[in-house]
Amino acid sequence: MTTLDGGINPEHPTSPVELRRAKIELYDVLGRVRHHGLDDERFESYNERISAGATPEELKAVADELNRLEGSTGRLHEPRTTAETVPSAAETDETPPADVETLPTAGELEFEQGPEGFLIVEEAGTKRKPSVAEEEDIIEQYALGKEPKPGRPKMLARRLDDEALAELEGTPAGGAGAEVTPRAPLTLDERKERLRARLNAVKGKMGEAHFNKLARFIDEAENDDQTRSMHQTLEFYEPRRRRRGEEPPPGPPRPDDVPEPLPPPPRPPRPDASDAIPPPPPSWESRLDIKKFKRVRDIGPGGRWAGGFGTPRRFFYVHPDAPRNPDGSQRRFTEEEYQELIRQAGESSPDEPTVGRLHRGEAPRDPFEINKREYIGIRPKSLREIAANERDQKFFGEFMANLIPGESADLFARAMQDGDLTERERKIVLYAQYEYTKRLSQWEKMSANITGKHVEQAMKRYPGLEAAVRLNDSTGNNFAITTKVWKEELMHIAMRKDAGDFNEVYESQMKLAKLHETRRFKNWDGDVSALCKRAHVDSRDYDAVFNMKTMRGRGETSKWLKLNLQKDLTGFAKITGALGLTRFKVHRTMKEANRLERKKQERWLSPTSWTLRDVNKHEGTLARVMALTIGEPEKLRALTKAAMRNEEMQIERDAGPRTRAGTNAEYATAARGELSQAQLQQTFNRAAKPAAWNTWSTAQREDWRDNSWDPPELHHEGEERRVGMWAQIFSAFKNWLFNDQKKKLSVA
Amino acid sequence: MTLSVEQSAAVYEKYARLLAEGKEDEAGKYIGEQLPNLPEDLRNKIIALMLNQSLIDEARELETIHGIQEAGLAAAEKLEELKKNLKEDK
Repeated sequence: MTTLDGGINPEHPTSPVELRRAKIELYDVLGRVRHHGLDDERFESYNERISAGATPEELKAVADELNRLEGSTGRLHEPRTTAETVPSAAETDETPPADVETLPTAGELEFEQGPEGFLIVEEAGTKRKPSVAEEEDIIEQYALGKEPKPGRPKMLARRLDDEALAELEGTPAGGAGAEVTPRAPLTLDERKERLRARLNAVKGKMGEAHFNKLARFIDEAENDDQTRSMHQTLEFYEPRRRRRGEEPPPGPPRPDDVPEPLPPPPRPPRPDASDAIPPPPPSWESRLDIKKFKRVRDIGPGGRWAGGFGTPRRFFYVHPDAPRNPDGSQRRFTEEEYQELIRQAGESSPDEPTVGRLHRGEAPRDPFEINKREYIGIRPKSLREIAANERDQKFFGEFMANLIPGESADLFARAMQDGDLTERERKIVLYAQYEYTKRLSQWEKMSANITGKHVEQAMKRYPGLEAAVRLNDSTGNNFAITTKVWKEELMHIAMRKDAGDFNEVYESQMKLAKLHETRRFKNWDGDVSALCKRAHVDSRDYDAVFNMKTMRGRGETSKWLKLNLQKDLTGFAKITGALGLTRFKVHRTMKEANRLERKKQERWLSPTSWTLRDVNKHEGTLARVMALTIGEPEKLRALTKAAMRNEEMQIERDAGPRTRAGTNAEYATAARGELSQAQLQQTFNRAAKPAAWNTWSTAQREDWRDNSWDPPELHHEGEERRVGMWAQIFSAFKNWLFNDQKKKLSVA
Repeated sequence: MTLSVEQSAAVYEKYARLLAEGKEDEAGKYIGEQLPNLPEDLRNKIIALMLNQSLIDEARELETIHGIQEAGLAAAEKLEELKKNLKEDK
């Protein structure tokens, strides 16, 4: 038996080992006190004081307070005699010796169940809180029906005193001299009644089936063993409420220095080497994996169609790891429960948009996270494949340059240079591979459908575009150059970070291709061709010839058709035409044109008009993006220049680094001596000279050689995109050597 | 001994050949050996490039260290928060 004072004496120096031992003992006491109602805040306070206690005085102060809380006067956890439980004022300040043995003495103590818990009624009529040992005795003897342990007093129950009863029931107290009658041990029926009351108190903690089962068990209980086991079962539900930190049931305020007596057996905390307090065990709900929840439609007893048409569907959630109901069925979670568990798990709902995360102050989703669902059917090109193909290398480099402006281009260059990438950078490259392959495949699919017809339609809608297109193209080559430029431009649009325009064009193009294959569109197209043939005009000029929307337009169309028909008549037909026979032909053509015009007008009951409306819409989208892209001043300049020089259009773009193959070819050429004096002289002799070269003086020629001559043969395509320090040194060396060598060339 | 232009051209060609063969380390070593002998203006240009590259490397290294430190700080903050939550749960 150890007393705290035996281990820690403020009068004498104490070793660290003794201090540590005393701390462990104090933790033990603190754990017991906590289980008897010490609130979390005070528990934390004591815990910190013990762990921070560096001197015996500090620990002694804590020990005193804890001992007072525990209801003893300096002892820690020894079984107490009846005499000890009611210490006199003189004994209170005395510390018993460390090796005092408790003598087994039998006696009787009266107690009562007041609104604040058990109270010991002393002979003088005063009441006090029971100590821990006394409380254990009450529980064992009164609730569990056990016999008193040797050396422990017998606990006799008294009825609630009148004052407390009045407080509980709201009736006036019967006065100080209320009759007190000792209570006899409980009968089986009384025990059952108590059990029922206890069961009702925890009804909300269990399922209905389980509650009914326990209630039936109570009803059928035949002996004390069965009621005792029921008490133990119910204890399982009651203490959990305290352990979870819920508020105790409301009652009158208690003095702070008196612990609240509670029935559960003491559970001392494990004295660990560290001062940390272990966290409470997580509930089974919090251990469920959120991703395993399954949404199930709630089909009631009436069946799937119960409630009739329009009845909203109801759903619930199930989880394979959740405990099952007593009948073996899966436990159901409502939508609210599911959302609450998601919130507790700190995860976002799978369907929750990014704005929800931002609203909660969480970080938005990583834009470079690969959502496999977006890339179904896409097999990303490997970097090796991309580097091996010049076109891929060029466009992938452009895509990387646009992905994170000012950062990703350097990233790609470094990947090619030394492969030194961080984890995040590797993630970005992988995302780029996926996205590039996806956009490339979309572009390939789309560009296969783009023809000169689209260019022609775009010109009709945007007459300003015609000036750019006609620079290089005509109907004769089916607008081949513009079509090629447009396809390439689309690829550049696809390589932008924001592929909104590209997606719009892609969707329109794909839908247009489908619409052109429909029966309704083909019929309408055939009718237009037939009408144009009848009117002796090219079907491409249909919109220009037939203006059927207004009365005036129809009149002009009719007049023009008449003249157009008459001009082609010869011989006898010319005479009959002049007599008015042409009018019949014009009339019939106009009638047919009116019919087509009515078909074009959108109406609810005309499916053809729906098709034509969609075609018109998507053609408009294509034309708009085409006009905006090709109509850019930079493109117009390049188109004009290319047309005037009869060359291919060249536009400089922010492309990625050079391919390894391209760079190696350049190195190999350099190694063969392209800058040697002899080879450079040959290059200079072959170079195109200014027209007045022969009339120039030597000084003029040397000036031209030194300041203007820059042979394109020495400049490899994309050389400005060389990557790495060795390549930069190569460039510097080459320029220096060229500038030095060319000064020695003969200009004769 | 400073190399003539012709000799520098030979260095250039050998350097290019090594690069074409993919022997970058060897090429770097070679240009390092020849650097003191190259004409001064060319030498200065190459030294400037090397210096620039070393600065970039250093900056990147610092950036990496900074990133690691930031990640460490974030982890420490998270741990503190977890600890606080645990205490609150109790």
